Formats: sequence, C-alpha cells, structure tokens
Amino acid sequence: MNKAIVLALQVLLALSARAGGLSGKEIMTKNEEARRVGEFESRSKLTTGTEGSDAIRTKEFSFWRKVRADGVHNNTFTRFHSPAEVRNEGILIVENESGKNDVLLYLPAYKKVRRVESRQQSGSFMGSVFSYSDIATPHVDEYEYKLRGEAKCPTPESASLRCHEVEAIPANEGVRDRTGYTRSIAWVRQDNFMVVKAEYYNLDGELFKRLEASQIRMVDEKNKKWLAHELFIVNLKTKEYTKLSFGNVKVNGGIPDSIFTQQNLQKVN
Amino acid sequence: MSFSNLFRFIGLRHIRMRPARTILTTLGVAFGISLYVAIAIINHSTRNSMKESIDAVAGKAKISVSAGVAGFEEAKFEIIRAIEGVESAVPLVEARAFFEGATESTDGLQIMGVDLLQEASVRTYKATDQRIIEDPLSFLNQPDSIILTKALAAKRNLAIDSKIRLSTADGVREFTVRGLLEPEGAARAYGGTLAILDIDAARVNFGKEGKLDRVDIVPAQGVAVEALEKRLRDTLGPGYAVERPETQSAQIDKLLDSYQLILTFFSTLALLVGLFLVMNSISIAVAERKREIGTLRALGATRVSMVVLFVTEVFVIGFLGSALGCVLGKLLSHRLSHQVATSVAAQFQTRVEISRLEFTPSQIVFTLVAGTLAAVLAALFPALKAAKVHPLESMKRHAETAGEAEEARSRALIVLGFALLAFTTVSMIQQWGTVWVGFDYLTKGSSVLGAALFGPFIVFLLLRGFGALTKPLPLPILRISQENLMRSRRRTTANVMALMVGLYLVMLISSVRSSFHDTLTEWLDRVFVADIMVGSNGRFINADVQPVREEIVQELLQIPGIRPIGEGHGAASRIVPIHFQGVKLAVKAIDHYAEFYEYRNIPLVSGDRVAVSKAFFESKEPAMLATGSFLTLAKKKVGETVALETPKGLVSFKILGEVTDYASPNGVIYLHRPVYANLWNDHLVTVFVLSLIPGHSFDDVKAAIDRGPGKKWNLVTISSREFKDQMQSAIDRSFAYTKAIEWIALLVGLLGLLNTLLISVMERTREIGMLRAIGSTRLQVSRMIFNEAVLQGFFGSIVAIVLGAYVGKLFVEYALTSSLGWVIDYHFPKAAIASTILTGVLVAGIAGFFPARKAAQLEITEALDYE
Repeated sequence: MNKAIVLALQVLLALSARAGGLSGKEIMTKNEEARRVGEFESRSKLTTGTEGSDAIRTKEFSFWRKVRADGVHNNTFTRFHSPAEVRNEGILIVENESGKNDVLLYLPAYKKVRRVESRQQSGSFMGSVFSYSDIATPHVDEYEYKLRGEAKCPTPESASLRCHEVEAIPANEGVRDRTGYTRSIAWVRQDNFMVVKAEYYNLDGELFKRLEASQIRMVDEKNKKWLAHELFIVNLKTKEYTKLSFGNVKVNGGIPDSIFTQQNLQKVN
Repeated sequence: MSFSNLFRFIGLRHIRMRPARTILTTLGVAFGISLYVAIAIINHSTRNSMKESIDAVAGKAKISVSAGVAGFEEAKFEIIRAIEGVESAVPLVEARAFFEGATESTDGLQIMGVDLLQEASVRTYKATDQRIIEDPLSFLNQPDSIILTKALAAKRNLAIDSKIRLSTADGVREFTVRGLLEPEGAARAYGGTLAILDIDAARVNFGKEGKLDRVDIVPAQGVAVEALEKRLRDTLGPGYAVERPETQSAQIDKLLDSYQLILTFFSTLALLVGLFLVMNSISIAVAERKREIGTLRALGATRVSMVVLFVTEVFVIGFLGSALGCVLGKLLSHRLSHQVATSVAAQFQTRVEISRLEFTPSQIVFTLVAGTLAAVLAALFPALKAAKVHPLESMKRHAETAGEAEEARSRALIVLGFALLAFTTVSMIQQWGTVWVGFDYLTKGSSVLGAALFGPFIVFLLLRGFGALTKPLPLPILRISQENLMRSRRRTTANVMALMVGLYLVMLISSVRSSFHDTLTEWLDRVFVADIMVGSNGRFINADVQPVREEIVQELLQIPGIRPIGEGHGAASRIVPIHFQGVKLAVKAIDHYAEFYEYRNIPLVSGDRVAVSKAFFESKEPAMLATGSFLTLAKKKVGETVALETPKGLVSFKILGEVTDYASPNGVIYLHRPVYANLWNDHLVTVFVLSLIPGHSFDDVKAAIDRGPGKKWNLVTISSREFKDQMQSAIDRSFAYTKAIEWIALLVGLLGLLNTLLISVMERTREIGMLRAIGSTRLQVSRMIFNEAVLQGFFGSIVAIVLGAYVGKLFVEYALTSSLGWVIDYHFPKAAIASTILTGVLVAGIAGFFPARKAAQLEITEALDYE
C-alpha cells in the first residue's frame, strides 16, 4: 500500500516538472532559440543610478552581436561613445565552447588591449549592475534546470500572459565562478519563451539581483526571433540599478566577422 | 614564627619603612624592563609588519617571479601564464612615490600597479563603499585614477574625488582618488601606506613602460609547488627570482636576526643595570639588617626562611617594577618605533612600515615572570649571604669589617672580570659568534660583566694615585673622602659598578656612532667632488628618491653656469638594489663624468686610480668595481670574473678594482651606466651630478633650475654641502634610538648610585656622629660625602671611557662586520670624553647631594646611638 502511494507521488512530481509536456531544460532550450538572433547591431544606452538618488551615469555605445559558426555561441563587440572618459573604449566578448569566455578590453588611453580574467567576469560591466557574464548570453548546457511551476507573468508589460517559472543551477564550478551566481529563477513567457523576469542568488545563497525585460518585440519574423529592447536590473543589496536600452536595432544586416577581432578592437576612428 | 607572619611583620615593614629605597629599586627595575619591553615590542612588530606585507601582497599566490628593481619585460608575462601548471598569474608593477615637496621618506608611499581585470584570482581588496571603484571603465582609462587605503586617506584628510599631487618619473602629476580600501587583503601591506594604480597607469607615470616588476602565481589544483617553481626557473633562466612567500619571510627572519640581536643586547644592558641595582640594594640591606637577621635566627628562624624572606621582598619589588616597566615600555615603543624602523630601512635598503605595535598578553605575562624572576635571581646571592649570618657574629657591634675571605672573594671577582674581558677580546677577534650564536650572547654578556667586575679595580688604582698626588695639597676634606673610599672597598665597588655600567654603555654606543659618522664623513669628503646634485622628491642620502628620466640632463645642461661634463648622455647615477646569492646588494651605475673629476669620485682601495677607472669606463667587456664585502661574498679577487643575473641572462663581469662604499653592508658594485641600462633595460636616473662653471654661484644656478626644468620635472637641487649635512643627519637619525637607551641606562645608574649612597650614609651614621663629635662642622661632613660621590663619578667615568672605548673598538672592527656586514674604521669618540666625564660627575653629584644633606642634618647624639 505504502509503496503504491510513494510511486503515485513520484509520478505526480514527474508530471508537475513538465509543463505542457516540457521540462525546465526544454523550456530554456526554446528560450535560447527564441532570443538567438543571427546578427544584430544597435545604438545602445546604459543608465546607472541608485534608488533614492538623482545622480545617474549614462553611457552610449554601439553594440554588435553575431552567432558563431557553431550556431550556439555568440561574439559580442561594444564600442563606447560617451562620456568622454570612456570614448573609444571597446569590449570584445568571445564565447567559447569550453564555457570559458574570452573578454578583451581596449583602453585608448594606453592604446592597449587587456584581458578580463574569468573570475573577474562576474564583476561589473562598464560600471553597471550588469556583469560581463550577464552580457555574454547564458547557454542551456551550462546549467541544470528545475521547473518550479507556472504562474501569471510578473511584469506589467506581460501581466496578461502566463509564464513558466524555471530554476537554473550552474552545472559546474567554472560557470559558478564566472557568473558569481549559485542559482537563478527565470519567468519565461509561455507564448514566445522569452524571459520577462529573473532573480539571481549570489555565492552566499542570498537573493542578489533582479532583472526585468520589457519591450519584447519580434525582430526576425522569418526565423521567429525576439529581442527585449529594454533590460532593467537592480542590485537588491546596494539598491543600485541599471537600464540597458537597445535603439536603432538592425537585424541580420550582414555584420562581417572582422568586427569581432582584436585588430578591430584596437582600431579607433 | 610562620613565614607569612615573618613576611608580614618583617619583610613588608621594611618595604614600607624605607619608601625611598623601595621606590628607587622599583623604578630601577621598571626603567630597565621598559627599554627591554620597548625593544622587544618593536622587534616583534617590525618582523610581523614585514612578513604581513609579504603575505598581503602575495595574497593567494604560492610563487612570485621578480627580477629586481629594474623589473623585466612585459612580454614575459604571457610566457609565464602559459607554463603548464599555472592556474592564475597576475602582474604587478611596484614603485615609490612621494607627495609633492617631500624631503623625507616618511612622505612617500608604495605604489602597487595592478591589473584590476585579473587581480581577483590572487589578491583581495575590500572597499569602504560597495565597490572598490565606481566605474571600472572610467577608472581604467584615466591614468590619474588612484585608490588609497582608508587609513592613508584619513591621515591626509582625503576622500573620494580628492586630488593629490605625487612626484612621478615625469615630474609632479595630479591624481584623483577614485576608491578607498579597508585594511584587509592587500591593503594591509606596507602598514597601509600604499596606493593602487592600474598597471598601465603605474607604468606610464613611473617610467616602467613595457615592464613588470613581479608576477604572482597560483598553481593549478594538484600541481606541486616545487615542480612548478622548477618549471618556471627552467623556462625563465637566470636573472629571475622565483620565490615562495614563505621563503621571503624566512629571508626577513635571517636579515633581522643579527640586527635585532644588537638591539636586544643594548636593551638587555639597561636591564642588567637595573638588576645590578636590585643586587646592590639587597646586599646593602643584608649588611644593614645583620643584627635583625641574627635576632631572628636566635629566635628560631631557619636559614631557608631568611633566604625566602629577602627573596619575597624582592619578588614584590620585582613584580611591581616589571608591571610598571610593561606600561613604560609600551609608551617608549611608540616613541622609538619610527627611529628603529628608519634604522632598519637604512640597514637593509628596504621600506619598513610598522603597521601596529603589538604587545600580546603572552608577552606581558612573559615579561612579568621573567622580570620578577631576574630580580629574584639578582637578589639570591645577597639573600644566601643573609642565611649564612651567625646569630652570635651578628650581635657584635661594627661587625662589618672586610675579613680575609671577603678580600679573597674581591680579588677573585677582579680576576674573573679580567678573564671575561679577555674572553670578549678573543671571541670578537676570532668571530666565534658566527660559529655558534650562543657565543655571540656570551661575548656580549661577558663584555658587560667583565667591565663591571674589573672596572672598580682600576678605579681603586686611580684613587690611590689621586691620593698620592693630592697628599701635599691643603685639601683635608678631599683627602678624607679619598681615604674613606679606599677603606670601604665593598661600598665603593658597589657605587662604582652602579654608575659605571651605564656610562660604559654610553661610551660603547658612542664608539659605534662616531665610527660610522667619521668613516662616512671622511669618505664623502674624499669622493664627493661634485658641486650640485639634482634629483626628485625623497631622501637623497639613501637613494630613496623618485627616479626620473635620463633625458632631463639635456635641459639641465642648458642652464647658465652648469659646466657640461660626461660623455654625451650626461652625468647621472642610478642606484638600485639587486640580489646576488640571496643577498641584497647595491648597484651604482655611473656615467663617465668621473673623468672630469680626475676620477676622484672612484674610491679605489689600491692601485692606480686613474688607470683602473679609465679601464673600467672604457672596457669593451662588462666590467665592475666592487667593495671588499662583495668580493668576500662572491669569493672572488680583483682580476677575476663574476657572473651576475640580469634580465638578459647570466652576464660575466670582470672585476677591475676594489672600492670603498657604504651604500650597503652586503656589498656595492659600480657599473658603467650604459652597460647597466642595456642589461637591466633601466634608463631611469636616481640623481644627476653637476659641476659649476667658475664664477657662477650655486644659489643662482639653483634658482635657474627651480624656475626651469625643476618646475617642469619636480626636481630638487642641493649643494654638496647640503648633501653632506643630510648624510650626517641621516647617521644621527639612524642612531637616534640609541639615545633613549643611553638615557635609560644613565637614569638607572643614577637611581642605583643614589640608592647605594643613601644606604652608605645610613651605614656610616655612627662614623658621621663621631666626626661631628670631634669637631667637624655640618658643612665639612656634607662636603665629605659629596666629594666621595663626585670622586666616584669622576674616576668611574674615566674607567667607563677606557673600557667602553676598548670594547667599542672590538665591536666596530669585528662584531659589526661579522653580524651586519659593515666594514668601517674605528674612530675614538673624542667628543664623548668630556660629555661622559661631565655626565658621570653630574649624575654622581646629583646622587650625592641628597645623602650629603642627610648626613649634615644628623644630630650628634642620635648618630652616636645609631645601631
């Protein structure tokens, strides 16, 4: 009798871990497919401030991203335009299959390219609340997933929609060190598999950052690719926040691979 | 009577009834202990601070790679990083910077140029705010960005966004504080007197473009540190130091051992003087209380209880003195720490920042136990003497006459004193201390004890001579004083010993100080022939200045009044430390301007100065001149070759001559600057040496430099006279802490003498009463006692001068070389003669004044009735 009850519970749990027949991993695989735009470039803006304070810092930059030949990993290139003290600085992020990303920073003051060490990649990207690893997109295989259930989507823009709630845990120490997160919970729209909200837990297991994605629009109808044009992230400990806005987005406009090279990083107009 | 009653009714009564003696003896112990404690605190804290800096900078690194002050090529970093077994490697550029207008090393700070994009894998930092820096992109791209420790910022009243002006290789630059660090992780290094710059900013500002000073390495998991060390050495080849932090700590221990032994020796001397005071005090108390001891013995007190009674009295005094000594010592350590740190820095050519003075509970307990025990031990001999007092003998009046046994003992002590001085002489000459450190302690201890035991014998000889000389003179009171001293041998010996040990110490330290001072002054007068020296902020004297670019010389040579000297690239010197066989040496890389001065600035020990110097500067092969200490270390002779590790590999240098130089006790090497600059890839300059065209004044030329290149490059111009003055004041500063030792030794000596003189007046109460009864006036009695004190002070100081100078000579000529490496000539401290005699007479006069007054105030009847 007892064995039967245990078996029934196990079956129920297994079923509940699959929403509409999808597991946590399958949902996140679909998420990666939905947001993997082959090529896109934009003129972007990064605004950082602290809740309760009027002081904000704004950086403007151009942003290029292109999926590599393996169809999974991206190359990302950023060139800063303002303010003056960061003008012409550049950041090249090359995602590798090994999971160890190469992050190179160009400093025009010294005309030098510097490497951002893996452990440092969990640090602040451009003085914002985003880390370098937040900017380099996460990949499905780097995490283990647990489907927590489904609920109404938690952001105003998507309030009328249903979301999956998926918990992700780094698959190895390398990913954990690089990201600085021990786990994260994402709310994924059921209609297009785009994340609308995510919560990140630091190495002490404390809730650390909260991300909200908005202005989610399809940018490649042919391939059904979506992009969140605005990302808002807040550090719950320091109350510091950053808003990243992608403007003038151009998709699949033919970005040459030479953009994502060290030579280009050092080439300043 | 039980022991507790014995102590309550007898011991404590004596402590209470003779407050002056109790206080004097307690103070004597306290002062002696205080110096010992202060030096122990400073020694411990110096060692800890230096090790803490090593650990803080190393962080998680298990291995560090460096190549001396000049650093190595940046390209090597990728080679190191790629070596199998390296998990993380982070680069570091180090520099010294000075606040604008600094003339002292204390106005300097250590610059750590780090790659903030890689640091996390090795070093940790904790910001005062949430993040170390607000905006890494802005920080990294602005060469004026600087991070300070919170302590340094508070000291200089700085906050985030404050501007500071620091001298750099390119003159004064303004930096903006963009981060503050809590005293954790790397920010604990150098006592917090450090600033963090981005590595490229450090390179650009401090003339280290394309270079690294050090790479810190964390081995991959499972990789043996030894194996990785070997791989690094094999890959990099000679010229690179591949070390572990613990090896560096062990080197610090080795470096400091000898130096701190000398400090401990001096402080132990002061403690010995204090213990001497205890011994004297109890000796005299035993003599004074002979009748009481006899009575107690007759009433049934055992010999053991007599010993315990005196020992317990001393235990109380010793404990109180030690406790007070701990407090005074802690206060004194604050006063002396900077002076000792300066002295250690000069000795080891390294920056010493004592972060905090630690006096741990275990140290306090140890001091209390050891201080009390030492006082008890000092009292043990007179206490044992008390136990031997026979009840019958003690009942006799005036039983205190030196018997034959006492005479024999006195002679034996003189012989022992002589033997100890003889041992000191042989041990120092033969340098037995280098064979076994125990000999070092024994030798230093013997030198003091020998002088203390043998000194009074010479004083008696001198007193006898003085008596013969003054016999025909109409000075009856002086003669009576002299005869009294001769007659009361025990008392006189005790007084002379109390005073002499302090003066002996003063003379010993003066010998060392004057030898350094005079040797260096003579050397400077001989070799320093330039009119002007130009450098950046800092201290010229120990080359602790901000190095500047060599091109500056061309601008200097445009100044009217400056005579062009040198061979095109100017008249510059670069002075840097390098490692040779694990020891730090000084390299002086000089331009060929020496020809202008007929090579007088090349202090060749022997041979044709001009010929050897020309050969040195014109040699096609790498050549060097070296000091004797280097030749001894390298086991080489003039004419042979020696291989030096350079960033370009192992290079053989021909030794063309031996020179005298005092930049480092371990050895100094002279190299031709172009040769050095090429091999070490270091084109910076420590100091420019210039000459005046006849008819031009220094002041005019200095003003012109200040207005022109001085302002542009933040240069400091000094005359040769100023340089020599700086040198002399640096030597004085190096020895400044010894003044405290001298003062305390003299203070303890004064207390000892005051104590014994007061007691001797008490002992002689009946004698004084009789003198008064047969017609001596109060003034005559008072003069007699005062004369006795002054005579003891005068002759005691003469003997202290002779013995102090003698042992000082041995110390300078042998001990300084064997333990610290310094080879200096002995110079008799002439200036100290008059001051030592004056101090001796003054101290004795002060100590004699109160007993003389007390003696004069005695009533005849009371005095005659005194037991």
